[in-house]
Amino acid sequence: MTGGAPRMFLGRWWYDRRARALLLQVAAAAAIAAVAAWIVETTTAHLAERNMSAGFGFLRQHAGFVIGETLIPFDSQDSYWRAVLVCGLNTVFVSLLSCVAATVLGAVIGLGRLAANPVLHRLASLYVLAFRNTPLLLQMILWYALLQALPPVRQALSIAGTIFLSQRGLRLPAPEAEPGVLIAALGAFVAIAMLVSRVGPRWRFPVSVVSLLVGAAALSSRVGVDIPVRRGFNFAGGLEMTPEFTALFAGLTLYYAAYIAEIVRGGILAVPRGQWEAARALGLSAWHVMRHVVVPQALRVITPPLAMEYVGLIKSSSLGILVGYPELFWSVSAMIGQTGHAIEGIALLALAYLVPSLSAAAAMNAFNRRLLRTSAA
Amino acid sequence: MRFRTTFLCAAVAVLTTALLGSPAAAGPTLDAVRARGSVKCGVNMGAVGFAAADSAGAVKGFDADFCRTVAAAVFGDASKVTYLAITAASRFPMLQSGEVDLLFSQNSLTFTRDTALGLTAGPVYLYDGQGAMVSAKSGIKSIKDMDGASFCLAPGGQSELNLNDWFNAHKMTFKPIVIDNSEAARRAFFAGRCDSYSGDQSDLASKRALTPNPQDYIILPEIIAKSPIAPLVRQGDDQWLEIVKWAVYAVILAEEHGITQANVDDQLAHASSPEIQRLLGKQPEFSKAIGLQPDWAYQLIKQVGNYGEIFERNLGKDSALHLPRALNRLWNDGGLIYAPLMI
Repeated sequence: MTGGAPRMFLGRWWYDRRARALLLQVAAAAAIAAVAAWIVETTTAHLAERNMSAGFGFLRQHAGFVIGETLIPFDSQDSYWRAVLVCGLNTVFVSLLSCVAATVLGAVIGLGRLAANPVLHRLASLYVLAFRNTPLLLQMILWYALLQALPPVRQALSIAGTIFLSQRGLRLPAPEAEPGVLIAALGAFVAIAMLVSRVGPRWRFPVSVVSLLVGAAALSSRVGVDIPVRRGFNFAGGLEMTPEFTALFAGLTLYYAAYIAEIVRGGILAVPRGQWEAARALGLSAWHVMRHVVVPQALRVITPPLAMEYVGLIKSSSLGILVGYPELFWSVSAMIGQTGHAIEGIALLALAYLVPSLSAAAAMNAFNRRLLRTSAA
Repeated sequence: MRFRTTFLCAAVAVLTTALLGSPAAAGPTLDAVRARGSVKCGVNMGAVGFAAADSAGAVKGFDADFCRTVAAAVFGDASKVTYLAITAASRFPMLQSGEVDLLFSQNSLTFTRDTALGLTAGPVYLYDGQGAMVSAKSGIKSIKDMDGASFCLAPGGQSELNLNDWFNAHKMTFKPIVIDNSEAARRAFFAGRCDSYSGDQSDLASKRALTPNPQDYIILPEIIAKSPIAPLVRQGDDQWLEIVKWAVYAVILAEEHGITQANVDDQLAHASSPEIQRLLGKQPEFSKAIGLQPDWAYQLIKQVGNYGEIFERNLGKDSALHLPRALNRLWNDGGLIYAPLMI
């Protein structure tokens, strides 16, 4: 009798579903934590046995190297930590641009595959066939090799003495303005857009042309143009697109556009024929059928796989290391080469790729939820 | 892709061996090498003059020959080498994890590599310096003329740091283009992407020898940083370190005493010098102290040659690189190549 009460007590808990689930989850979490602790413990012990130091302290050391292209300033006296940050920003930059470009190009090609025009249809199909069935790395190295085949910098191709194309990349004139002017220009543009949306359809075109012209005239005196000039070994000034950046950007864009094209095509084909027919029967124009009936329904199908492609694109940007673009993997690899901290470097890299990949997935999920809500309403 | 795969494999290997403890850590490297029947030597595969496959598929070169001296010392057979191709990022993890027994891979010896990585270095077997190669057409005569120039660089090494230090000291700037694939970096330079390629002068000569028109490129005479090339082994196995050290010393001593691949048998039979007798194993009790067969040095000289022979065959006048001996002459000939006494 004395042992009966606790056993009954435990038994009651055990047969309660929620309590049992909680217990199992705690046990599972404890097991995972124990394995993680064991891994960390043995790794540090064995590293110490091999006279290898462990830890992330080395990130504060001077990097010592310089980075070819950066969005924020970087100096060789800066830390490894900043080098990783600078190159991480490069990864974000090239990924964002490629995502936008691949989406636009993919949509165009996807629609091309659905076009009635046989030439358009075949060309789009050929594009998808070629770009989807060859390795991305191969394509990137091909683009890089082709960019090397451009004329040397001394015989750069030039358009009106302002745009230069050579082995060293593309140089474009860049607008030069103080930040205040840029903000004012942005504000003016938003104001024009709001004005245009208020006026009646007949007035839209003339109003937008006139206001844009007035705005441009007002700004022109305050905006300079930085035209690239030949100086020393290369061009100076203007906007530079290096062959390394271009090879990575073109590789990612063209490859992922082929996948996105198929997703777009699939999404549009998933809209039932009846929807098309009903929209046409209402007398809607081809544009309105697309804009108001097909695309909203297709987007629901397109969004989840599109998110996966974006995540894939971000991860594939690590191939930039092989065409010399200083992205995240490039910086970590350089850091490992110099300091020998391979385990820490790879761990950092894994975490760093999780952040943009998970945020891209989260953003697309949020968008997807909103889409489901609006279409339900 | 091959680079990424080896890199990741090496990283994973470090992690797993760090977790489990490798057999190499359990016993001396020599036991593992003997049990395996070959020396696993990490080399920079494809570097002409250092380690590159010839038309018959055999790996030839300066580094490859030094790998062979170690195999000859251990097994009495210089052919018992397994060459493993390293990359800039994978070489140290490969050695740390026990995937290779040693590195003869054009490594400059630095403080970090000798201390922080759990590795330790053997003797310097090539005294080199970092320089710059430019196209002859460019008309560049000195690195001092190269303010604002772009440099193609091999990744992961100290060459980037040296170049940066040099340009800072001269208040000049440069643009680095670092492609993590030495083949692609080489191609980019020869295609004209960069104004210059910077690296160890021996490596520049090696890269130049691969082009169809080597005379179109010049290696500038300036040396912006010294580059002592040394083998690396893991810390904590002194016996293995000694074998690697004395394999290098033996080829140096052989040249010093005029012993060549051709005359080593004659020297063994007739030499009266006690040091030569000790080197070639005529005093078995003496030679055995290193833990190898008494004739270990005889075997490596017989099968691979002396320092001068190894140099001239791979890097010097009998090679495509045509490098002068320069600092790599013997100490008694005005160079830096110097070995301890065989006593």
